[in-house]
Amino acid sequence: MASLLEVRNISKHFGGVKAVDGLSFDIPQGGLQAIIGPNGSGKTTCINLITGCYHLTGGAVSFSGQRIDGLSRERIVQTGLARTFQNLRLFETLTVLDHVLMGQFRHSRVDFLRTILGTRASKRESRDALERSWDLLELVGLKDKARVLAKSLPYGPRRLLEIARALATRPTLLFLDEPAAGMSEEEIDRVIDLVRTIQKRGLTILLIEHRMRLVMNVSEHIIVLNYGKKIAEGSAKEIQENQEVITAYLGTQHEKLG
Amino acid sequence: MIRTGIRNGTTIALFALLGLVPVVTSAPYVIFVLNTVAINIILVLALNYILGFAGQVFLGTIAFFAVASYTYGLLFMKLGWGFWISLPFAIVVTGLLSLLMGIPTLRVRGAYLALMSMGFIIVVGDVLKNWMSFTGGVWGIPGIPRPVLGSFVLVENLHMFYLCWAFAFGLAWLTLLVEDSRFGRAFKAVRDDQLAVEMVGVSSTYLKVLAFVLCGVYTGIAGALFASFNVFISPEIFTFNYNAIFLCMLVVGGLSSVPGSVLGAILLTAAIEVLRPLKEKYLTVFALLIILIMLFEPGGLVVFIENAVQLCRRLWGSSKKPAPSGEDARG
Repeated sequence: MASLLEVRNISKHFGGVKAVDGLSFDIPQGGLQAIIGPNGSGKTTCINLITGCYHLTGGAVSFSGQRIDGLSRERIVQTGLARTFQNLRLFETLTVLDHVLMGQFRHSRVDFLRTILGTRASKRESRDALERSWDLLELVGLKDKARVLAKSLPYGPRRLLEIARALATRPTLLFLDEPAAGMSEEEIDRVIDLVRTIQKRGLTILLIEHRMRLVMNVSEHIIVLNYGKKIAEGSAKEIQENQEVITAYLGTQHEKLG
Repeated sequence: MIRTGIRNGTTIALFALLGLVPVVTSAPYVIFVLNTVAINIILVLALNYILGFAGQVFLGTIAFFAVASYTYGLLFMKLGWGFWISLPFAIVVTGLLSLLMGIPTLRVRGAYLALMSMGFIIVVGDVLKNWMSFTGGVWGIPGIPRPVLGSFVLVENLHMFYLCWAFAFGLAWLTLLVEDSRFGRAFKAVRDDQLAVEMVGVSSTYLKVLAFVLCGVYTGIAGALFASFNVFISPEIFTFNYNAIFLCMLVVGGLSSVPGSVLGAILLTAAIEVLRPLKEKYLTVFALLIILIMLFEPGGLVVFIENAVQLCRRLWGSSKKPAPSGEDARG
């Protein structure tokens, strides 16, 4: 099967630190893969590289058979990628509804003048955008918070709004960067449900996560990073039994000093 | 969240009050100041696109204003083109200049952008002063004729005021339409988080340049109106101080708010007249005003008005909720 995303030998060096070092992996169409790894293993850097937030030190990225490395950030997203941010980057002074509308901005075809003059085409377009926004807010469960400013949302709903905004761009591949970080067990259940629903709609998902309950629950294929390199890859079961992964997470037992 | 209804109502009320002043008094001095108020409103609305909505610290609008005034003045004086031909030209020239300026400058941010914009003011000022054969140097351009409507010449300052007032009101309303459109939302998104805008597949540079061009177009109109109202323009008029005043008006009135821009322009233009005895020191008072605003109500004076209106509504016990769909009627 042809891969949707092909990552070939990508690297990112910050001075002498090799945050990502010669990493390659494939994401097949329709799958749900996860990238896990200890803190500082290069998971988020990897997403930042693919989406153009950082410039590659070396390597290549292809999406749907098209080279996307070196494109501007907005062009990369326009090819059908979307992401959420681990450290939340919402538009503080906009409402929840505004976020999902902003997510759809790139699909608007009516130009500036026609939009301001309120032509029939622009009215139709904004009505459609509004309709889709309500659907998305319903999906993530923020419909009753639509008029609330993002800055007054609690932590959990903020993460859900990140997902809704990313979905609003109508991506084919979605990167979820620690969607459950800082969430309660109850909220994690909601994220698990949400991820499954999104996947059923035909989206390909790459999940970066710390919370093992979420990772082991939803992912079909797991890639494990450590020090910017891939140390293992396989199903949840295979990963759990992999000695190198256990070592990376728990450390090795050193001989006692006599 | 500022309710759309209150915002629009406040804007209309401010313009209505302004338009009714000549009915109460027609003292030549008052009418003269009113003209300045109307032109300043347009300039503050222009600055609001960049500094308020899109959140870019560009402080060089006075240079656009100067270029617009000179374009208008030169076309009128050298080629004899009337108001209705020179005005669109002034708009186009200033719009193009802002586009040319916008693309390189908007690659830098924050303090760097602020510094570049100040450099821009100096460059434009020096060109106007030293290109004697074209701009008239420090002597400027005297004797610019007043606009003609049909066969009616707007010789009276009162007539000129209603023309400026109409333009200011129209542009304020246009700004409200932009604010409620998907573009207004996108400008604010750029202000809040540029990277997040790019990560929903929208070019932040495109949005910033668009805000820039809108600023240029508004300033173009203000420049043409100013040149024809003032009859005389010279490099002395377009100073750093004048530039600082727009900034004060916007911040004191209410950054990112249309009624705030209008309120700030009205109050501070009046304040300048009241503080005339202080000469240049009036800027100290403005500085103090900005500090107080930043301390007690960063949203500007307009917030007090909006809160008061909301309080009145509650006291009146009106159970009418503001129509929630109003702000989403546009895309």
